[in-house]
Amino acid sequence: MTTVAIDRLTKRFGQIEAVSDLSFSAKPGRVTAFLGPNGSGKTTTLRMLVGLADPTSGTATIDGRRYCEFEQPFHTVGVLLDGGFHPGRRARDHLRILATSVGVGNDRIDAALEFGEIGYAASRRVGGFSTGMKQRLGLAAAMLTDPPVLILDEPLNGLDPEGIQWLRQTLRNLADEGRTVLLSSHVLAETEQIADDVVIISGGKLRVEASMNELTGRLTPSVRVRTPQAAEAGKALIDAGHVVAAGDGPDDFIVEAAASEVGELLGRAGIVLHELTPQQKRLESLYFQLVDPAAPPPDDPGLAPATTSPEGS
Amino acid sequence: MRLLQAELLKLWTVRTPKVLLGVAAVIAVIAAAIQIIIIETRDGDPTLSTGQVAGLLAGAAAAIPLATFIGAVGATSEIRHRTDYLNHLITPTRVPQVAARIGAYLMFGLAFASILLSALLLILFSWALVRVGTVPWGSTPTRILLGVALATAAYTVIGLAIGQIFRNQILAVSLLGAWMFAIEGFIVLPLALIDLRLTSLMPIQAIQALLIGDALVETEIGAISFGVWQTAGIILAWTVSLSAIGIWRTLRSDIR
Repeated sequence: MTTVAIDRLTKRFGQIEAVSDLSFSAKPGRVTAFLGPNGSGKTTTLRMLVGLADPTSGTATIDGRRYCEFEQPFHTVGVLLDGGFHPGRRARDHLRILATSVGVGNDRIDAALEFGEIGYAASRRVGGFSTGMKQRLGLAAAMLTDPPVLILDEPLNGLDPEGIQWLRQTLRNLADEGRTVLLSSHVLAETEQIADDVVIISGGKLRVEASMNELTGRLTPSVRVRTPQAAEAGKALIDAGHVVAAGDGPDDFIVEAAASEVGELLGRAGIVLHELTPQQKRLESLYFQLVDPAAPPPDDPGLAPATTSPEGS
Repeated sequence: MRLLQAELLKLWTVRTPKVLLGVAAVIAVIAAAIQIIIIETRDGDPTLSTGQVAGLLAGAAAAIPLATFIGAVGATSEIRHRTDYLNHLITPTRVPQVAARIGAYLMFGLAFASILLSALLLILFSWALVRVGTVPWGSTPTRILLGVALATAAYTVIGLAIGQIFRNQILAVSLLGAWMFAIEGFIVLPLALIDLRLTSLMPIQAIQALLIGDALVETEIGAISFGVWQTAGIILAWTVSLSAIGIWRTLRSDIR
Protein backbone atom coordinates (compact mmCIF):
# COMPACT_ATOMS: atom_id res chain seq x y z
CA MET A 1 0.00 0.00 0.00
CA THR A 2 1.84 3.03 -1.27
CA THR A 3 1.08 6.47 0.08
CA VAL A 4 2.25 9.71 -1.45
CA ALA A 5 3.11 12.25 1.24
CA ILE A 6 3.93 15.91 0.83
CA ASP A 7 5.24 17.33 4.07
CA ARG A 8 5.86 21.06 4.61
CA LEU A 9 7.13 21.37 1.07
CA THR A 10 8.46 24.76 0.01
CA LYS A 11 10.00 25.82 -3.28
CA ARG A 12 11.46 29.25 -3.97
CA PHE A 13 12.66 30.51 -7.32
CA GLY A 14 14.66 33.56 -6.32
CA GLN A 15 12.27 35.86 -4.51
CA ILE A 16 9.20 33.96 -5.71
CA GLU A 17 7.77 31.30 -3.45
CA ALA A 18 6.09 28.90 -5.86
CA VAL A 19 5.10 26.38 -3.19
CA SER A 20 4.77 27.36 0.43
CA ASP A 21 4.79 24.97 3.39
CA LEU A 22 2.51 22.55 1.55
CA SER A 23 1.38 19.32 3.19
CA PHE A 24 -1.08 16.72 1.99
CA SER A 25 -1.22 13.04 1.16
CA ALA A 26 -2.67 10.71 -1.46
CA LYS A 27 -3.73 7.31 -0.26
CA PRO A 28 -3.92 3.86 -1.82
CA GLY A 29 -7.26 2.94 -3.31
CA ARG A 30 -8.22 6.58 -3.74
CA VAL A 31 -8.14 9.03 -6.62
CA THR A 32 -6.80 12.29 -5.25
CA ALA A 33 -7.40 15.42 -7.30
CA PHE A 34 -4.82 18.15 -6.93
CA LEU A 35 -6.52 21.36 -7.96
CA GLY A 36 -5.54 24.97 -8.32
CA PRO A 37 -5.44 27.76 -10.88
CA ASN A 38 -2.62 28.11 -13.40
CA GLY A 39 0.60 29.09 -11.67
CA SER A 40 -0.61 27.90 -8.28
CA GLY A 41 2.29 25.48 -7.87
CA LYS A 42 0.68 22.18 -8.89
CA THR A 43 3.21 21.17 -11.51
CA THR A 44 6.13 22.39 -9.39
CA THR A 45 4.86 20.21 -6.54
CA LEU A 46 4.54 17.18 -8.80
CA ARG A 47 8.00 17.81 -10.26
CA MET A 48 9.46 17.88 -6.76
CA LEU A 49 7.61 14.68 -5.97
CA VAL A 50 9.26 12.84 -8.88
CA GLY A 51 12.70 14.33 -8.40
CA LEU A 52 12.67 16.76 -11.31
CA ALA A 53 13.01 19.74 -8.98
CA ASP A 54 14.70 20.11 -5.62
CA PRO A 55 12.58 21.42 -2.74
CA THR A 56 13.88 24.44 -0.88
CA SER A 57 12.63 22.73 2.26
CA GLY A 58 10.27 19.95 3.26
CA THR A 59 9.90 16.50 1.77
CA ALA A 60 7.89 14.75 -0.92
CA THR A 61 7.91 11.00 -0.52
CA ILE A 62 6.36 7.89 -2.00
CA ASP A 63 6.03 5.02 0.41
CA GLY A 64 8.28 6.93 2.79
CA ARG A 65 11.11 7.36 0.29
CA ARG A 66 12.13 10.21 -1.95
CA TYR A 67 11.80 9.40 -5.65
CA CYS A 68 15.56 9.43 -6.20
CA GLU A 69 16.01 6.85 -3.45
CA PHE A 70 14.23 4.17 -5.47
CA GLU A 71 16.55 1.90 -7.38
CA GLN A 72 14.00 1.55 -10.18
CA PRO A 73 11.42 4.26 -9.51
CA PHE A 74 9.53 3.65 -12.75
CA HIS A 75 8.49 0.26 -11.37
CA THR A 76 6.77 1.99 -8.45
CA VAL A 77 5.59 5.26 -9.92
CA GLY A 78 3.98 5.89 -13.30
CA VAL A 79 4.24 9.53 -14.28
CA LEU A 80 2.47 11.64 -16.87
CA LEU A 81 3.80 15.15 -17.30
CA ASP A 82 3.34 17.62 -20.13
CA GLY A 83 5.30 16.80 -23.29
CA GLY A 84 7.76 13.95 -23.52
CA PHE A 85 7.22 12.83 -27.13
CA HIS A 86 9.49 13.18 -30.12
CA PRO A 87 7.12 14.02 -32.98
CA GLY A 88 9.13 11.98 -35.47
CA ARG A 89 9.02 8.81 -33.41
CA ARG A 90 6.34 6.14 -33.74
CA ALA A 91 4.16 5.43 -30.71
CA ARG A 92 5.40 1.86 -30.35
CA ASP A 93 9.01 3.03 -30.58
CA HIS A 94 8.36 5.58 -27.84
CA LEU A 95 7.19 2.79 -25.56
CA ARG A 96 9.96 0.45 -26.77
CA ILE A 97 12.59 2.94 -25.66
CA LEU A 98 11.00 3.26 -22.23
CA ALA A 99 10.54 -0.50 -21.95
CA THR A 100 14.19 -1.07 -22.83
CA SER A 101 15.31 1.53 -20.29
CA VAL A 102 13.32 -0.01 -17.45
CA GLY A 103 13.85 -3.61 -18.48
CA VAL A 104 10.36 -4.80 -19.32
CA GLY A 105 9.45 -6.96 -22.28
CA ASN A 106 7.45 -6.40 -25.44
CA ASP A 107 4.40 -7.97 -23.80
CA ARG A 108 4.18 -4.90 -21.54
CA ILE A 109 4.35 -2.62 -24.59
CA ASP A 110 1.33 -4.38 -26.06
CA ALA A 111 -0.44 -4.29 -22.70
CA ALA A 112 0.25 -0.56 -22.35
CA LEU A 113 -1.00 0.15 -25.86
CA GLU A 114 -4.11 -1.82 -25.07
CA PHE A 115 -4.52 0.01 -21.78
CA GLY A 116 -4.38 3.37 -23.54
CA GLU A 117 -6.63 2.05 -26.34
CA ILE A 118 -4.06 3.45 -28.73
CA GLY A 119 -2.93 0.22 -30.38
CA TYR A 120 -4.50 1.23 -33.70
CA ALA A 121 -1.98 4.11 -33.91
CA ALA A 122 1.07 2.21 -32.65
CA SER A 123 2.87 2.49 -35.99
CA ARG A 124 2.08 6.15 -36.53
CA ARG A 125 4.44 9.00 -35.74
CA VAL A 126 3.47 10.95 -32.64
CA GLY A 127 3.72 14.26 -34.53
CA GLY A 128 0.43 13.36 -36.23
CA PHE A 129 -1.37 12.60 -32.98
CA SER A 130 -4.14 14.74 -31.54
CA THR A 131 -3.70 16.05 -27.99
CA GLY A 132 -6.04 13.36 -26.74
CA MET A 133 -4.05 10.61 -28.45
CA LYS A 134 -0.87 11.96 -26.90
CA GLN A 135 -2.53 11.90 -23.50
CA ARG A 136 -3.51 8.28 -24.06
CA LEU A 137 0.03 7.41 -25.13
CA GLY A 138 1.38 9.23 -22.07
CA LEU A 139 -0.94 7.24 -19.85
CA ALA A 140 0.10 4.05 -21.62
CA ALA A 141 3.73 4.95 -20.89
CA ALA A 142 2.88 5.65 -17.25
CA MET A 143 1.32 2.17 -17.00
CA LEU A 144 4.19 0.42 -18.77
CA THR A 145 5.50 -1.19 -15.59
CA ASP A 146 2.07 -1.63 -14.01
CA PRO A 147 3.08 0.59 -11.06
CA PRO A 148 1.17 0.93 -7.76
CA VAL A 149 1.33 4.74 -7.88
CA LEU A 150 0.22 7.04 -10.68
CA ILE A 151 1.09 10.72 -10.77
CA LEU A 152 -0.69 12.47 -13.60
CA ASP A 153 -0.33 16.13 -14.48
CA GLU A 154 -3.44 17.41 -16.23
CA PRO A 155 -4.45 14.03 -17.75
CA LEU A 156 -7.85 15.41 -18.82
CA ASN A 157 -6.36 18.05 -21.09
CA GLY A 158 -7.25 17.50 -24.72
CA LEU A 159 -9.44 14.45 -24.15
CA ASP A 160 -12.73 14.31 -26.01
CA PRO A 161 -15.92 13.29 -24.14
CA GLU A 162 -15.28 9.60 -24.88
CA GLY A 163 -11.71 10.01 -23.69
CA ILE A 164 -12.82 11.67 -20.48
CA GLN A 165 -15.33 8.92 -19.84
CA TRP A 166 -12.63 6.33 -20.54
CA LEU A 167 -10.17 8.03 -18.19
CA ARG A 168 -12.80 8.37 -15.47
CA GLN A 169 -13.56 4.66 -15.59
CA THR A 170 -9.92 3.70 -15.95
CA LEU A 171 -8.75 5.72 -12.96
CA ARG A 172 -11.66 4.38 -10.93
CA ASN A 173 -10.61 0.82 -11.80
CA LEU A 174 -6.97 1.52 -11.02
CA ALA A 175 -7.87 2.97 -7.62
CA ASP A 176 -10.19 0.05 -6.93
CA GLU A 177 -7.22 -2.25 -7.55
CA GLY A 178 -5.54 -0.51 -4.61
CA ARG A 179 -3.34 1.91 -6.53
CA THR A 180 -2.65 5.45 -5.42
CA VAL A 181 -3.75 7.91 -8.07
CA LEU A 182 -2.76 11.57 -7.78
CA LEU A 183 -3.87 13.81 -10.61
CA SER A 184 -3.66 17.53 -11.09
CA SER A 185 -6.33 19.28 -13.06
CA HIS A 186 -8.24 22.46 -13.60
CA VAL A 187 -11.20 20.75 -15.30
CA LEU A 188 -13.41 20.92 -12.25
CA ALA A 189 -16.62 19.37 -13.51
CA GLU A 190 -14.88 16.19 -14.61
CA THR A 191 -12.58 16.06 -11.63
CA GLU A 192 -15.62 16.14 -9.39
CA GLN A 193 -16.78 12.90 -10.95
CA ILE A 194 -13.39 11.18 -10.82
CA ALA A 195 -11.89 12.10 -7.47
CA ASP A 196 -12.40 10.60 -4.03
CA ASP A 197 -10.24 13.18 -2.30
CA VAL A 198 -9.50 16.77 -3.19
CA VAL A 199 -6.52 18.97 -2.47
CA ILE A 200 -6.89 22.60 -3.52
CA ILE A 201 -3.97 25.01 -3.57
CA SER A 202 -3.70 28.62 -4.53
CA GLY A 203 -0.62 30.81 -4.58
CA GLY A 204 1.42 27.77 -3.59
CA LYS A 205 -0.52 27.41 -0.33
CA LEU A 206 -2.91 24.69 0.74
CA ARG A 207 -6.51 25.87 0.74
CA VAL A 208 -8.29 22.63 1.47
CA GLU A 209 -7.68 18.92 1.80
CA ALA A 210 -10.79 16.81 2.15
CA SER A 211 -12.75 13.98 0.67
CA MET A 212 -15.06 14.88 -2.19
CA ASN A 213 -18.07 13.92 -0.07
CA GLU A 214 -17.03 16.22 2.73
CA LEU A 215 -16.33 19.01 0.33
CA THR A 216 -19.58 18.89 -1.58
CA GLY A 217 -21.50 18.26 1.65
CA ARG A 218 -20.24 21.60 2.85
CA LEU A 219 -21.98 23.43 0.02
CA THR A 220 -25.33 25.02 0.75
CA PRO A 221 -28.03 23.03 -1.07
CA SER A 222 -30.09 24.87 -3.64
CA VAL A 223 -33.31 24.12 -5.48
CA ARG A 224 -34.91 25.37 -8.66
CA VAL A 225 -38.56 26.39 -8.22
CA ARG A 226 -41.06 26.87 -11.07
CA THR A 227 -44.47 28.18 -10.20
CA PRO A 228 -47.16 30.37 -11.77
CA GLN A 229 -47.12 32.30 -8.47
CA ALA A 230 -43.44 33.21 -8.59
CA ALA A 231 -43.83 36.59 -6.89
CA GLU A 232 -45.75 35.20 -3.90
CA ALA A 233 -43.47 32.19 -3.61
CA GLY A 234 -40.35 34.39 -3.70
CA LYS A 235 -41.74 36.65 -1.02
CA ALA A 236 -42.65 33.72 1.23
CA LEU A 237 -39.15 32.29 0.93
CA ILE A 238 -37.40 35.62 1.51
CA ASP A 239 -39.64 36.24 4.53
CA ALA A 240 -38.54 32.85 5.85
CA GLY A 241 -34.90 34.00 5.59
CA HIS A 242 -33.81 32.18 2.42
CA VAL A 243 -31.63 33.59 -0.34
CA VAL A 244 -33.46 33.70 -3.66
CA ALA A 245 -31.87 34.28 -7.07
CA ALA A 246 -33.49 34.80 -10.48
CA GLY A 247 -33.97 31.76 -12.71
CA ASP A 248 -34.08 31.37 -16.48
CA GLY A 249 -37.62 32.71 -16.94
CA PRO A 250 -40.31 34.79 -15.20
CA ASP A 251 -41.87 31.70 -13.60
CA ASP A 252 -38.77 30.24 -12.00
CA PHE A 253 -36.01 31.07 -9.54
CA ILE A 254 -33.29 29.41 -7.48
CA VAL A 255 -33.45 29.29 -3.71
CA GLU A 256 -30.64 28.26 -1.35
CA ALA A 257 -32.39 25.62 0.73
CA ALA A 258 -33.17 21.92 0.72
CA ALA A 259 -35.99 20.83 -1.63
CA SER A 260 -38.02 19.34 1.22
CA GLU A 261 -37.88 22.56 3.21
CA VAL A 262 -38.93 24.67 0.21
CA GLY A 263 -41.76 22.26 -0.70
CA GLU A 264 -43.19 22.28 2.83
CA LEU A 265 -42.93 26.06 3.17
CA LEU A 266 -44.62 26.77 -0.17
CA GLY A 267 -47.23 24.07 0.47
CA ARG A 268 -48.20 25.74 3.73
CA ALA A 269 -48.49 29.06 1.85
CA GLY A 270 -50.89 27.41 -0.65
CA ILE A 271 -48.65 28.04 -3.64
CA VAL A 272 -48.97 25.81 -6.71
CA LEU A 273 -45.69 24.22 -7.77
CA HIS A 274 -44.90 23.07 -11.31
CA GLU A 275 -41.30 22.07 -10.59
CA LEU A 276 -39.01 21.62 -7.60
CA THR A 277 -35.55 20.40 -8.66
CA PRO A 278 -32.53 20.09 -6.35
CA GLN A 279 -29.54 21.69 -8.03
CA GLN A 280 -26.31 19.73 -8.50
CA LYS A 281 -23.78 20.63 -5.85
CA ARG A 282 -20.82 21.97 -7.71
CA LEU A 283 -17.21 21.69 -6.67
CA GLU A 284 -16.71 24.70 -8.89
CA SER A 285 -18.54 27.10 -6.59
CA LEU A 286 -16.46 26.14 -3.57
CA TYR A 287 -13.30 26.10 -5.64
CA PHE A 288 -13.71 29.71 -6.65
CA GLN A 289 -14.28 30.74 -3.05
CA LEU A 290 -11.14 28.92 -1.98
CA VAL A 291 -8.77 30.07 -4.69
CA ASP A 292 -9.84 33.71 -4.48
CA PRO A 293 -6.50 35.47 -4.13
CA ALA A 294 -8.10 37.99 -1.78
CA ALA A 295 -9.18 35.24 0.59
CA PRO A 296 -6.69 34.45 3.37
CA PRO A 297 -5.62 30.81 3.63
CA PRO A 298 -7.77 28.97 6.15
CA ASP A 299 -6.25 28.31 9.53
CA ASP A 300 -7.24 24.70 9.23
CA PRO A 301 -7.32 23.65 5.58
CA GLY A 302 -8.66 20.24 6.40
CA LEU A 303 -12.44 20.43 6.38
CA ALA A 304 -11.79 17.20 8.04
CA PRO A 305 -8.28 15.98 7.36
CA ALA A 306 -8.53 13.37 4.68
CA THR A 307 -9.12 10.47 6.97
CA THR A 308 -12.03 9.44 4.86
CA SER A 309 -13.86 6.20 4.54
CA PRO A 310 -13.92 4.61 1.10
CA GLU A 311 -17.57 5.44 0.68
CA GLY A 312 -16.79 7.69 -2.22
CA SER A 313 -15.14 4.82 -4.06
CA MET B 1 23.49 -1.81 -20.81
CA ARG B 2 19.73 -1.20 -20.88
CA LEU B 3 20.29 2.54 -20.94
CA LEU B 4 22.84 2.19 -23.75
CA GLN B 5 20.36 0.14 -25.80
CA ALA B 6 17.64 2.69 -25.15
CA GLU B 7 19.88 5.57 -26.27
CA LEU B 8 20.75 3.72 -29.47
CA LEU B 9 17.05 3.08 -30.06
CA LYS B 10 16.36 6.78 -29.62
CA LEU B 11 18.81 7.59 -32.37
CA TRP B 12 17.54 4.93 -34.73
CA THR B 13 13.82 5.55 -34.28
CA VAL B 14 13.85 9.10 -35.65
CA ARG B 15 14.47 10.19 -39.21
CA THR B 16 17.33 12.69 -38.94
CA PRO B 17 20.20 10.19 -38.48
CA LYS B 18 18.92 8.01 -41.33
CA VAL B 19 18.49 11.00 -43.65
CA LEU B 20 21.97 12.32 -42.84
CA LEU B 21 23.45 8.86 -43.32
CA GLY B 22 21.83 8.81 -46.75
CA VAL B 23 23.22 12.26 -47.54
CA ALA B 24 26.70 11.22 -46.41
CA ALA B 25 26.48 8.06 -48.51
CA VAL B 26 25.47 10.03 -51.59
CA ILE B 27 28.35 12.49 -51.11
CA ALA B 28 30.87 9.70 -50.54
CA VAL B 29 29.70 7.67 -53.54
CA ILE B 30 29.71 10.71 -55.84
CA ALA B 31 33.24 11.60 -54.66
CA ALA B 32 34.37 8.03 -55.30
CA ALA B 33 32.71 7.95 -58.71
CA ILE B 34 34.44 11.19 -59.72
CA GLN B 35 37.81 9.76 -58.71
CA ILE B 36 37.17 6.57 -60.64
CA ILE B 37 36.16 8.55 -63.72
CA ILE B 38 39.35 10.64 -63.42
CA ILE B 39 41.48 7.51 -63.16
CA GLU B 40 39.64 5.90 -66.06
CA THR B 41 39.93 8.94 -68.34
CA ARG B 42 43.52 9.81 -67.39
CA ASP B 43 44.83 6.34 -68.24
CA GLY B 44 43.32 4.27 -70.99
CA ASP B 45 44.62 1.27 -69.13
CA PRO B 46 43.97 2.32 -65.51
CA THR B 47 46.43 1.59 -62.72
CA LEU B 48 45.85 2.10 -59.02
CA SER B 49 48.24 3.40 -56.35
CA THR B 50 47.81 3.26 -52.57
CA GLY B 51 47.45 7.05 -52.66
CA GLN B 52 44.52 6.75 -55.04
CA VAL B 53 42.95 4.04 -52.89
CA ALA B 54 43.32 6.33 -49.87
CA GLY B 55 41.86 9.25 -51.80
CA LEU B 56 38.89 7.14 -52.81
CA LEU B 57 38.22 6.07 -49.22
CA ALA B 58 38.65 9.64 -47.95
CA GLY B 59 35.19 10.39 -49.36
CA ALA B 60 33.85 8.77 -46.20
CA ALA B 61 35.06 11.86 -44.33
CA ALA B 62 31.72 13.37 -45.41
CA ALA B 63 30.41 11.44 -42.42
CA ILE B 64 32.30 13.62 -39.94
CA PRO B 65 30.42 16.94 -40.18
CA LEU B 66 27.08 15.17 -40.63
CA ALA B 67 27.68 12.96 -37.59
CA THR B 68 28.49 16.11 -35.62
CA PHE B 69 25.12 17.53 -36.61
CA ILE B 70 23.43 14.26 -35.59
CA GLY B 71 24.99 14.59 -32.14
CA ALA B 72 23.86 18.18 -31.74
CA VAL B 73 20.35 17.51 -33.05
CA GLY B 74 20.00 14.42 -30.85
CA ALA B 75 20.95 16.28 -27.69
CA THR B 76 18.83 19.35 -28.36
CA SER B 77 15.80 17.33 -29.54
CA GLU B 78 15.55 15.84 -26.06
CA ILE B 79 15.33 19.35 -24.63
CA ARG B 80 13.15 20.77 -27.39
CA HIS B 81 10.55 18.00 -27.17
CA ARG B 82 10.94 17.60 -23.41
CA THR B 83 11.72 13.91 -23.71
CA ASP B 84 14.67 14.40 -21.37
CA TYR B 85 12.45 14.27 -18.29
CA LEU B 86 11.64 10.65 -19.05
CA ASN B 87 15.33 9.81 -18.80
CA HIS B 88 15.44 11.41 -15.39
CA LEU B 89 12.32 9.64 -14.22
CA ILE B 90 13.78 6.30 -15.23
CA THR B 91 17.26 7.00 -13.88
CA PRO B 92 17.24 9.63 -11.14
CA THR B 93 20.99 9.03 -10.77
CA ARG B 94 22.09 11.09 -13.73
CA VAL B 95 25.68 9.93 -14.30
CA PRO B 96 24.85 6.44 -15.69
CA GLN B 97 22.29 8.04 -17.98
CA VAL B 98 24.74 10.61 -19.31
CA ALA B 99 27.48 8.00 -19.66
CA ALA B 100 25.11 5.70 -21.57
CA ARG B 101 24.27 8.50 -23.95
CA ILE B 102 27.92 9.28 -24.67
CA GLY B 103 28.58 5.58 -25.22
CA ALA B 104 25.62 5.31 -27.58
CA TYR B 105 26.72 8.31 -29.65
CA LEU B 106 30.28 6.93 -29.85
CA MET B 107 28.92 3.60 -31.10
CA PHE B 108 26.55 5.32 -33.49
CA GLY B 109 29.39 7.42 -34.92
CA LEU B 110 31.48 4.30 -35.43
CA ALA B 111 28.59 2.53 -37.13
CA PHE B 112 27.90 5.59 -39.28
CA ALA B 113 31.51 5.68 -40.52
CA SER B 114 31.63 1.90 -40.92
CA ILE B 115 28.59 1.88 -43.19
CA LEU B 116 30.09 4.56 -45.45
CA LEU B 117 33.52 2.95 -45.50
CA SER B 118 31.99 -0.45 -46.26
CA ALA B 119 30.07 1.04 -49.18
CA LEU B 120 33.21 2.68 -50.52
CA LEU B 121 35.27 -0.48 -50.07
CA LEU B 122 32.60 -2.41 -51.96
CA ILE B 123 32.72 0.09 -54.84
CA LEU B 124 36.52 0.19 -54.80
CA PHE B 125 37.01 -3.55 -54.84
CA SER B 126 34.22 -4.20 -57.36
CA TRP B 127 35.66 -1.65 -59.77
CA ALA B 128 39.34 -2.43 -59.15
CA LEU B 129 39.00 -6.19 -59.48
CA VAL B 130 37.26 -5.76 -62.84
CA ARG B 131 39.42 -2.95 -64.25
CA VAL B 132 42.78 -3.20 -62.48
CA GLY B 133 42.91 -6.71 -61.13
CA THR B 134 44.23 -5.97 -57.63
CA VAL B 135 43.82 -3.32 -54.96
CA PRO B 136 47.17 -2.06 -53.68
CA TRP B 137 47.01 -1.62 -49.93
CA GLY B 138 49.30 0.03 -47.39
CA SER B 139 49.48 2.19 -44.32
CA THR B 140 47.83 5.19 -45.94
CA PRO B 141 44.47 3.53 -46.78
CA THR B 142 44.54 1.88 -43.36
CA ARG B 143 45.08 5.27 -41.72
CA ILE B 144 42.16 6.71 -43.71
CA LEU B 145 39.89 3.86 -42.57
CA LEU B 146 40.82 4.16 -38.92
CA GLY B 147 41.03 7.96 -39.01
CA VAL B 148 37.54 8.39 -40.49
CA ALA B 149 36.09 5.88 -38.00
CA LEU B 150 37.76 7.54 -35.00
CA ALA B 151 36.98 11.09 -36.11
CA THR B 152 33.34 10.30 -36.92
CA ALA B 153 32.80 8.65 -33.52
CA ALA B 154 34.57 11.48 -31.70
CA TYR B 155 32.75 14.23 -33.58
CA THR B 156 29.35 12.62 -32.97
CA VAL B 157 30.12 12.97 -29.28
CA ILE B 158 31.42 16.50 -29.78
CA GLY B 159 28.13 17.38 -31.48
CA LEU B 160 26.27 15.84 -28.55
CA ALA B 161 28.34 17.92 -26.15
CA ILE B 162 27.72 21.13 -28.11
CA GLY B 163 23.99 20.38 -28.03
CA GLN B 164 24.10 19.77 -24.28
CA ILE B 165 26.07 22.96 -23.70
CA PHE B 166 23.92 25.32 -25.77
CA ARG B 167 20.60 23.45 -25.31
CA ASN B 168 19.04 25.14 -28.33
CA GLN B 169 18.85 23.26 -31.62
CA ILE B 170 19.16 26.19 -34.01
CA LEU B 171 21.96 27.79 -32.00
CA ALA B 172 23.92 24.55 -31.64
CA VAL B 173 23.63 23.52 -35.29
CA SER B 174 24.37 27.05 -36.58
CA LEU B 175 27.37 27.34 -34.32
CA LEU B 176 28.76 23.99 -35.43
CA GLY B 177 28.28 24.85 -39.10
CA ALA B 178 29.86 28.27 -38.65
CA TRP B 179 32.80 26.76 -36.74
CA MET B 180 33.48 24.04 -39.28
CA PHE B 181 33.15 26.19 -42.36
CA ALA B 182 34.31 29.64 -41.22
CA ILE B 183 35.25 30.43 -37.63
CA GLU B 184 38.13 27.99 -37.25
CA GLY B 185 39.67 29.31 -40.44
CA PHE B 186 39.71 32.80 -38.97
CA ILE B 187 41.19 31.56 -35.68
CA VAL B 188 43.94 29.55 -37.35
CA LEU B 189 45.45 32.60 -39.02
CA PRO B 190 46.33 34.62 -35.88
CA LEU B 191 47.32 31.41 -34.08
CA ALA B 192 49.80 30.65 -36.82
CA LEU B 193 51.30 34.10 -36.40
CA ILE B 194 51.97 33.34 -32.73
CA ASP B 195 53.23 29.79 -33.23
CA LEU B 196 52.51 27.56 -36.19
CA ARG B 197 52.21 24.51 -33.95
CA LEU B 198 49.27 26.08 -32.12
CA THR B 199 47.08 25.64 -35.19
CA SER B 200 47.34 21.88 -34.74
CA LEU B 201 45.27 22.25 -31.61
CA MET B 202 42.23 23.30 -33.62
CA PRO B 203 39.64 20.51 -34.09
CA ILE B 204 39.12 20.72 -37.85
CA GLN B 205 42.83 21.06 -38.52
CA ALA B 206 43.31 17.97 -36.38
CA ILE B 207 40.93 15.95 -38.59
CA GLN B 208 42.84 16.95 -41.70
CA ALA B 209 46.09 15.94 -40.06
CA LEU B 210 44.66 12.67 -38.81
CA LEU B 211 43.55 11.69 -42.28
CA ILE B 212 46.64 12.96 -44.06
CA GLY B 213 48.99 11.58 -41.43
CA ASP B 214 52.54 12.80 -41.18
CA ALA B 215 52.28 14.72 -44.41
CA LEU B 216 52.68 18.45 -44.39
CA VAL B 217 49.52 20.47 -44.07
CA GLU B 218 49.64 23.64 -46.08
CA THR B 219 48.30 26.72 -44.37
CA GLU B 220 48.18 30.23 -45.72
CA ILE B 221 51.05 31.09 -43.39
CA GLY B 222 53.24 28.09 -44.06
CA ALA B 223 53.45 24.34 -43.68
CA ILE B 224 53.54 22.33 -40.47
CA SER B 225 53.83 18.69 -39.64
CA PHE B 226 51.32 16.73 -37.60
CA GLY B 227 51.83 13.28 -36.15
CA VAL B 228 49.01 10.77 -36.33
CA TRP B 229 49.07 9.97 -32.64
CA GLN B 230 49.40 13.63 -31.75
CA THR B 231 46.32 14.56 -33.76
CA ALA B 232 44.36 11.58 -32.46
CA GLY B 233 45.22 12.80 -28.97
CA ILE B 234 44.08 16.33 -29.84
CA ILE B 235 40.72 15.04 -31.13
CA LEU B 236 40.32 12.91 -28.02
CA ALA B 237 41.15 15.90 -25.82
CA TRP B 238 38.51 18.03 -27.56
CA THR B 239 35.99 15.19 -27.18
CA VAL B 240 36.69 14.67 -23.48
CA SER B 241 36.81 18.39 -22.64
CA LEU B 242 33.59 19.29 -24.43
CA SER B 243 31.83 16.20 -23.07
CA ALA B 244 32.85 17.17 -19.54
CA ILE B 245 31.36 20.64 -20.05
CA GLY B 246 28.26 19.06 -21.64
CA ILE B 247 27.81 16.71 -18.67
CA TRP B 248 28.28 19.55 -16.21
CA ARG B 249 25.78 21.70 -18.08
CA THR B 250 23.26 18.84 -18.29
CA LEU B 251 23.47 17.99 -14.60
CA ARG B 252 23.25 21.66 -13.69
CA SER B 253 20.20 22.28 -15.87
CA ASP B 254 18.28 19.09 -15.04
CA ILE B 255 17.13 19.84 -11.54
CA ARG B 256 16.43 23.30 -10.25
